[in-house]
Amino acid sequence: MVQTPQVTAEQEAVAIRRGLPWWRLLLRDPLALMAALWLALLCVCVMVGPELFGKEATTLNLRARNLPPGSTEQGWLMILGSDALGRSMLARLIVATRNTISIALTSVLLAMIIGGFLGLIAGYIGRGVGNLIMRLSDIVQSFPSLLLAVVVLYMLEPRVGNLVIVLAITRIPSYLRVTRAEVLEIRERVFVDASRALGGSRTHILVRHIAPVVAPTLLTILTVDFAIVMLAESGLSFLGIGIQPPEITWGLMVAQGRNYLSQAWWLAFFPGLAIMFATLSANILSNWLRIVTDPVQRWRLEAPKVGNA
Amino acid sequence: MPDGATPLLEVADLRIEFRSGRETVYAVNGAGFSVEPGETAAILGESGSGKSVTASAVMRLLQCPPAAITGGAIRFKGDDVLAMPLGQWRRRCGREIAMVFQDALASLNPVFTVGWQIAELFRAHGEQSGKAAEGRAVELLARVGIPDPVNRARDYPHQFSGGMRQRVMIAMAIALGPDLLIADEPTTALDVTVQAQIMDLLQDLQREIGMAMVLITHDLGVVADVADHVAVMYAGRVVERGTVRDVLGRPAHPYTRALLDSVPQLQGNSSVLRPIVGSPPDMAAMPAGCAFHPRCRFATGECRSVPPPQVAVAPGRIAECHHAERVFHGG
Amino acid sequence: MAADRTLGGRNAGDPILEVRGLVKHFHIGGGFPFGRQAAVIRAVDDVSFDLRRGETLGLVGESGCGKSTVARTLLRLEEPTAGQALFHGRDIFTAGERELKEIRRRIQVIFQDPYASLNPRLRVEQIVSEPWVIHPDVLPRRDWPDRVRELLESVGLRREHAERYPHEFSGGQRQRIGIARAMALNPEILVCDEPVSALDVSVQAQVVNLLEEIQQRFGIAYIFIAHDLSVVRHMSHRVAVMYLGRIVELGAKEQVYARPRHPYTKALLSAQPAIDFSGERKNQRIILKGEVPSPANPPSGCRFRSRCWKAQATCAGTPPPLAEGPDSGHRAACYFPEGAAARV
Repeated sequence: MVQTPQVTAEQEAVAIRRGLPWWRLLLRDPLALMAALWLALLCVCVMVGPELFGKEATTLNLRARNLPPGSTEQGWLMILGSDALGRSMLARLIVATRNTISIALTSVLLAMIIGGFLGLIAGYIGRGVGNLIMRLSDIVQSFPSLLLAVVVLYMLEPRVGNLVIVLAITRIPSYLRVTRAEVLEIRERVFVDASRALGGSRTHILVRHIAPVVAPTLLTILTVDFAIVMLAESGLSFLGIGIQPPEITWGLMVAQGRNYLSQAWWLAFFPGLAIMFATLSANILSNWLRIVTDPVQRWRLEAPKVGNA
Repeated sequence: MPDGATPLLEVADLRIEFRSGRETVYAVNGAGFSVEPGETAAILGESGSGKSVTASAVMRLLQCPPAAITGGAIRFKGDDVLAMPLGQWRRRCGREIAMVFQDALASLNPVFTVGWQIAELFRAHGEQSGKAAEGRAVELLARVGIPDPVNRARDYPHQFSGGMRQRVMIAMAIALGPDLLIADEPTTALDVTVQAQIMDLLQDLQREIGMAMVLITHDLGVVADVADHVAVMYAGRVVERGTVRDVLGRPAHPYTRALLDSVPQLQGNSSVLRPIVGSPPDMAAMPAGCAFHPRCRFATGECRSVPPPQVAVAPGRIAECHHAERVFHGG
Repeated sequence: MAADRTLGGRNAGDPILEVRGLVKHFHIGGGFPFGRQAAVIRAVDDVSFDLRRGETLGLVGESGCGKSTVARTLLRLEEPTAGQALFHGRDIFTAGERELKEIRRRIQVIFQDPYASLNPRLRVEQIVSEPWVIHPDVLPRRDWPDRVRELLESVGLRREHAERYPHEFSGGQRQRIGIARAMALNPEILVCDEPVSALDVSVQAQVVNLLEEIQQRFGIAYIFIAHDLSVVRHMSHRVAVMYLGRIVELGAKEQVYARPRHPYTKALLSAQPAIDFSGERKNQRIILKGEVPSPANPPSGCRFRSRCWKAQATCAGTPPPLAEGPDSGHRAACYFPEGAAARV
C-alpha cells in the first residue's frame, strides 16, 4: 500500500475548484453576452423573418419612397428609411438575413470541413498524398478568387447552390494551410507519442488528439471568413452573377445602394452596418468560445476580478 | 558564518514580491546569508524556493514591476546595493560582480559572433577597443578551454555545443576579473562529464583570480563537491546555514534532513529512499507559522502558528526551526 | 518495503525481451537529387541486451548516446534500420499492424516530460481510460470509471482527481497520472524514459518509490533510462552504459558501480557529483578532455578512443566486442579494460 502520509498530503495539493457552467461565464462577460444576444437575434430573423416581414419587404408603396431614417409618419417600420420603391429598409434587412447568413455560413462551414479534413490528411500522413493536396491548394489559391468565381458562375447558372460551392472553394486553401501547419506541430508532441505507444491508430489519434486542438483555430478563421464571404457575395451580386433579385441579401443591398450614396446614403449604410455587426459579434463570441473550451485558459474567465493590490 | 572583516556580499532579511492583477506571490520572505572574499558559497533549494530571484535581486536584474523588493538590505563590499543609483551599480557590474546563467543560448545574443560579444565587454567598460579588445577576447576563450580560439571567436553562439557555450558565458563573466561570480544553476542542463569539466574550470578560475563564487543549485552532490558554505532555502527563506560539511553531514533543519534522506546516493546504502511527502507550498498563499510544517515529521502544534526562530545549534550553524536542537542531535 | 535487489534472488527470471543487433541511423539532408551528400546520424549502432522478467535494466549515458532512441525503436515510435527485438519469441520490428497492437498492450512507456505527455484538453479520466478505448477487449466500458479511480488511488492520487485537467496538477502528480495510464493495460514491460529528470529533487523520491512498489506488486520489468547515475543505481538490478550509440559496459549493478571495467564508466562515475566527505573521490577524479563527438561522424573502431586516456592503435581498428571479464555476466567493450591484463 502507498504510505498514508503521502496520500494525506496529496489531499491539499489540488485545489478544490468547482468550474462554473458556461452560461454563468457568459453572463459575466458583457461584451460576449451582447455578441451572443445579437447573434441570437439574427437567428430569430433567419427563422421567422421572411414569414413575418415578407410582405412589407416586397410591397411597393410609392407614397413612402426614399424616406430618410427617422421618419415615422408612414409607420414604425420606416424607422430606418425606405428605398426608391417605398419598401421598408428594416423589413428588407430582416428578410435578407436568411439568405445572407445561410449562404455565408454554408460556404464557410463547407470550406472549413473540407479544408480542415484535407489539412489533417496532408499534415499527418504527408509525403505523396500530402504533397498532392498542397499543390492542388496552391493552384486554387493562385487564382484571384473573384475571377475564379466569375468564370465558374458564368459557365454554370448563378444559382444559390453554385454560389455557395464557388465561395467555399475559394476559401478552402486558408483552412487547409493552417490545419496542416498545426498538425505538423502537434504530431510531434509527446502525448501523441504516448497514444501511439498505447497502440492508437492514425484515425484514433487524429480524432481524439489532433482535431480538438486544431478546431479552435479553425473556428477563429471561420468568423473572419464570414465577413469576407459576405462581401465577396456582395461583389458577385453587384456584377449580376450572384444573388438574383427578387432574392435579397445584405450584400446585394449594399451593391444596389452604392450608386445612391450621395442621395440616399441609408440604402447602403444599414446593410453594411448589419454585415459589420454580424461579423463583429461572431468574432467576439468565437474568441470567448476559444477560451471557454480550453481547460488551461478557462481560469481567466472563472477567477473573480480583483482590483490592483 | 565566519566573522571578522566585512563580508564581500551580505544579504539581510530580503523580501521580494511579485504582483499581478490577481494575486501577490511572496517569492522571498526574509532571506539572509553572507559571502566572504575568495570562498565558494552555495544556495541550495528547489524550484520555487526563491534562490534564483534572490540572485537576480543582488544583480538588480529584476523587473520592477511586477517584482517589488519590499524589505531587507543587500550590501556589496559594505555598500548598499539597493540604495545606489542604478547607473552607478551598472558600472560595477561586470567589473566587480558578474553572473552566469543556466541557459547560455538564451543569454548570448544570437546575431553577434562570440568574439565580438566578449570584446564588447571591454569596449563598454572603456578598458580597451578595437584590435586590443579582440585579442583579449581570444585570450579569454583560450583560458576557458575552447580549442582553436582564434577561429572560434568568429563563430556564432548556436554553432557551439552546450558545454562550450557555457564556457563562453564564463569567459564573458570573468573578463574583467570580478571579485564575485554568481552562478545560477550553471551546469544543470549539461551532461555529467561536461558538468565536471565546467565546475573544474570555475574552481581553477577562482583560484587564479581570487574570486568568490555564489553557486545556486538544487544538486546536493554539486554542493558537497564544490562549496565551502551553504545556505538552504525553502519557500523564500534561508532555513539553514553553515559549512557544507556540517550542514550536509549533520543537518539541523528537518527539510535538509528530509532532502538528504530522499536523494539516492552514489555510494553507501542504496536500498531505502524516504520521500518528502506533499509538495512545495503555494507562494501566493503561505501556511501560517513554519512554511515546511505540512511536510515535516517533527511538526508540532507550535509549528503551525508560530514562525520558527533562528537557532544557533553550534558556532556558525544556524537553523530556523522550533526543533532545531532535536534534529541536530539526530532526534 | 525496499526491494531486495540482488541478482539471482527472486526477482531474476527468464528473458522476456531479447534485443539483438539493434541499429538506427537517421538520414538527414540529401533531399535534392543533385548529389548533395546526406548526413547519416548513427544514433544506435549494434546494441544487444536481454531484459528478464521482473527486473530493472538501467540504461545510462549522456546526451547523444542513443538511449532514448533505443527506447523509441523498441516501442516502434521509430522504425529501426536493422536488428531484432524478440518479445516472447515474436520480433517486434517485423510485426504487422495487428500483432504490433497486441504487443503494445504488453509494453508500455512513461515519458520524461510530465507536462507534455498528457493532452491538456482531456480530463484525467479520459487520459487514463484511453488505453481501453484503443483496446476495447480489455475491460468492459461500464467498468471504466471505477477502474480509473482505482488506478488513481494506487498511484497515490485521489478518486476525485479523475475529473480534473492536467494543468491543475504538479509535475510529480502528472507523472503519476502517466504511470496510472501505463498501468491500465497491465503491461509486462514498462519503458521509463527519464521519468524523474524533470521533477524536483524532493518529488523524485516519491515517483521512484512508486515505481519500485509497482514492480514488487506486479512483477513488471523496467527498462529504466536516465542520465543520473544515483537514481539508476537505486532502481536497477542490471545496468548498461551507453556511449555514442553503443553499449560499452553491461552487468549487475554492484559489478558496474563498484568495479567498472570500461574507462568511460569509470570517468562517468567519477564525474557524478556526490556527497563524500572522505575526499577520496576528489583525489580520483577523472576529468575527460574534449566533448562527445558528433554521432554523424563518430571515431572509427572504439568510439570512446578520442577521449580515452588509454587509447592505443588497436582501438582505431575493429570495434571492441562486448566481452566478459573475470566476473560472470559483467561485460565491457574495451581492449584494455580496467583491472585486467590487456587483451589483444
